[in-house]
Amino acid sequence: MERQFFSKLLGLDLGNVNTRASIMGVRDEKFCLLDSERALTSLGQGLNLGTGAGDAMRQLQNRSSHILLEKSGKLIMPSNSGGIGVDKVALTTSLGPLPRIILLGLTASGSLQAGRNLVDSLPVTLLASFGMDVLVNEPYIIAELLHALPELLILTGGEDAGAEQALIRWIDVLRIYYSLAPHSIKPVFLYAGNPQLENQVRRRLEPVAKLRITANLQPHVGELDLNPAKVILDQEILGFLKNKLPGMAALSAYSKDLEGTKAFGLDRMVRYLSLKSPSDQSRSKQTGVMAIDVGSVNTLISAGISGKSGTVVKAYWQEKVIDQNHHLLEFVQRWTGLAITSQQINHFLCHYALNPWIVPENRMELTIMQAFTRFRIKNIVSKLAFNYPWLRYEDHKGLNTHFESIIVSGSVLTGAPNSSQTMLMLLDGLQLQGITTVIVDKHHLLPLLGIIADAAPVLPVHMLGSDAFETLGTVVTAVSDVPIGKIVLTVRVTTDAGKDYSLDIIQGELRHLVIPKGVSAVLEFKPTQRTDIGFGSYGLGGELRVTGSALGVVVDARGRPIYLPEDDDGRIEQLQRWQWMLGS
Amino acid sequence: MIVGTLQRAKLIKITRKRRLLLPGRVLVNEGDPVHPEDVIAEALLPDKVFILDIAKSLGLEPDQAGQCLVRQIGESLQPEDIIAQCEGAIPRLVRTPIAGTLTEYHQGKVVIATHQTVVNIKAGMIGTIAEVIPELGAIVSVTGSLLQGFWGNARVGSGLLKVMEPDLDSTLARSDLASLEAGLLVVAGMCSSVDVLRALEEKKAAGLIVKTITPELIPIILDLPFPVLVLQGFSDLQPDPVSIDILQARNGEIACINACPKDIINGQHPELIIPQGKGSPAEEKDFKEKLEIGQQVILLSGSDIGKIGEVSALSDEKMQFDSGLVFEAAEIRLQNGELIHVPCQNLLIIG
Repeated sequence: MERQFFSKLLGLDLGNVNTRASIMGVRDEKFCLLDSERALTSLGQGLNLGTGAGDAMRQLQNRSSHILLEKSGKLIMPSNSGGIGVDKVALTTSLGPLPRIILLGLTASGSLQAGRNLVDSLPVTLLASFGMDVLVNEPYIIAELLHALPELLILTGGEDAGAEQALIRWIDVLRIYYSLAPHSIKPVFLYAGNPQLENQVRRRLEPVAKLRITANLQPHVGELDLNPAKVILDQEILGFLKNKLPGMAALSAYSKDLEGTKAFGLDRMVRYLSLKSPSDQSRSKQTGVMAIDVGSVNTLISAGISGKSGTVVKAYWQEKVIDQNHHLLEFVQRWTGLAITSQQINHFLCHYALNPWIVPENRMELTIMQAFTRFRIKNIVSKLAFNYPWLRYEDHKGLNTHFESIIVSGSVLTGAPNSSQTMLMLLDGLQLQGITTVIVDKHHLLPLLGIIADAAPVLPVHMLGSDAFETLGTVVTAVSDVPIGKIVLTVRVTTDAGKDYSLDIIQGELRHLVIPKGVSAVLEFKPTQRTDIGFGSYGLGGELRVTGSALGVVVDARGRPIYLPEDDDGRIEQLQRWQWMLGS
Repeated sequence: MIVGTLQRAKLIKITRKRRLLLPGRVLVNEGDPVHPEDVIAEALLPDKVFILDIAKSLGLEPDQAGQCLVRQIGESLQPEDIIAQCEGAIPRLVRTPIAGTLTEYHQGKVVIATHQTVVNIKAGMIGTIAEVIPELGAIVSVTGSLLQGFWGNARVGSGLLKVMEPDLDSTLARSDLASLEAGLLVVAGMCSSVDVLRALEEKKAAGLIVKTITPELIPIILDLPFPVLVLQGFSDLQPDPVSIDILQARNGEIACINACPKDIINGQHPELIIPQGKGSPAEEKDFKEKLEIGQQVILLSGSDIGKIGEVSALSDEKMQFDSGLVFEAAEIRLQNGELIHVPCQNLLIIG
């Protein structure tokens, strides 16, 4: 993409509930967030997405000194010499409806899994996937494709120069399918397989289908290359939304090439950050970045280490609630720190599922939503680990890949009444191990930065160093097999403000070391022989320099999995104690 | 602030678009009366194929068989029709064993489309065809009472309304259904038992309209053969007087349920329509509208969840709620006169 120069950029994030408008511009020779506002998304019959976007911009304009709109409501672009208007617009979206996709490939563990990794990383509905075993009955698979009415077909398989015969059979079957399918329901066809067959694909399928060809998802055994296909698939999703949602095409006309789904932007930004992330040899050998976004409809996770990344988006959690998923209901009850019956939880969650825009009015609703957020985080990290085995995660042990930072967004996380609740939702959902810094993306900017990065690489770098991203705290997890109540770790804290102290951390507890904002501290960790705190092995300690933040340093010695008493009174008391320990 | 709407009106002009996914044949004309199960339009979707290896039958290489085809792509075939033949020392020919349309030839194989599925779109309501959409469907319209609900089991149906108890505040029991006639749309307060659902199935009820249900019943309700419409939600909520008034006034009349899932994009709510009625009809609301003083609203959160009230004030200042969170708030006058504050986002405009 061509590098672009501008002084003021408007970021629009179209969510299922909120539309956010953020102005980024130059202050003290660095890009920063000048202001941000949100309004309800105008999604629905008879409505135009431009209304919600206009409301967000108007509110932003009314609150700040930035003039964005003409009296008629039209966006002023480019900006004039007086600084009125904006030079560029970047747009991200997590809106539905989602395009319906069928995935075709060869083997379940090979090409179909690569295809799953692709479609799981973007907001689509996967209707079905078929491997080459179905090719023994060509009429059957043709009928299945016709009945399913997909909007997009993806064929992948064969490493570079592999599995030609099976792929040729798929191409022949697809030629028949496309010849039979009525014009108005012919899906877009995306080929992401052995590149040696590209000419054959063009010759056979271009006359009958709208064809997109991209790089092989799995060029060599065990090697995934999803990024080129993500670009094409993301473009198709946006094209689909422009056709379906009134106002989307008009907003897209402002953003032109600076647009993408939120999942695409987040994936790209996390991959970029995982490359840029400075490696601190005194900590763990692995450093990387994880980002989690818990939206009103979608849950999104992206993780990257040294440029290797994976993303999963899960849409429409509502179905799981309405289908009365017992595992979900039990989990939420277990993590609800108030005396609430399972019936009350079920009623509220069903109500919330049907009205996902509602906000928690009282403590009961808040605690249920926060327990449910833990469930969504646990579920999505588990799915990410399934798709990307390099991510070490087990349900009973938690996340054992160490990330230098975890960036969180989504109203339930960024808008919690206090920081400790945000931290606990994350810690309990992920059950982290090692040492990490938790950062809050209050204005949901990270995906936008991923979209902007190609055109203006310096903007994300400046933005990430600005106060648009707030450090919530540093988490140190002590994993040990010593009994509850025994010492697992001694921490000595030396602050530049001259306050030095040391304390023992006991197995089973959660501790909060206050490091006020503006203060730096060096923490010296001395774990016992049977304790691992993420410095490389059991018993190995080290030093960590941290700067002050909302929560300072949180030491989590609650064990893995985190132990919760079985009886309700004990469980609720424990959950409330942890909240209190973190200062809420 | 714009918030969602839920239409509950004694008399309103209702129009609904019914449209096929692919072009086909429209089966109705402007002015035709329709019932929920009536098919508005249908299209044919090929769904079965027969693949014949003519190269193998002719004893030729795949790339040589094409010149022996004696039929064109798109031609209709009857059983025993000759598809391909070749001359030579030993002349050979290939006949189709099956009727269909010759769709494709490639590498020695022919594809014959043998069967088509009919896909259709139904009226989903009682009404009249207001406008035909050529090749795709029609707009159905009716003037009548409209009650939109929170949840439905994706079925449609119609019948005479049978209000089991006037105030919708008790739980439906199997014994209440002892003398129930077939084909009725049963209206009740709460449904909390599988036994009641099975009894309704046995009695061949045309549908069920309930104020609330127990969520545990959802998986069973999804499998029922008749439509179920939930007006208020899932907990033990107070009855909505607007709905009670309408249902009491129209008891015994013909009505239809479209228990479709809520679809924001197409503006669908699960709904009950009772055609005709007295008075001058109101206009339908958009899916979302601006919240204003004087509007009737239903509360979606807090201890008064499910209650109906009137917006008595809207504040420019945000307000902190018991959850500790701060939102734009509306002052609501409940029907008992009590004034409460609710986050604007947690209100649905009704009317």
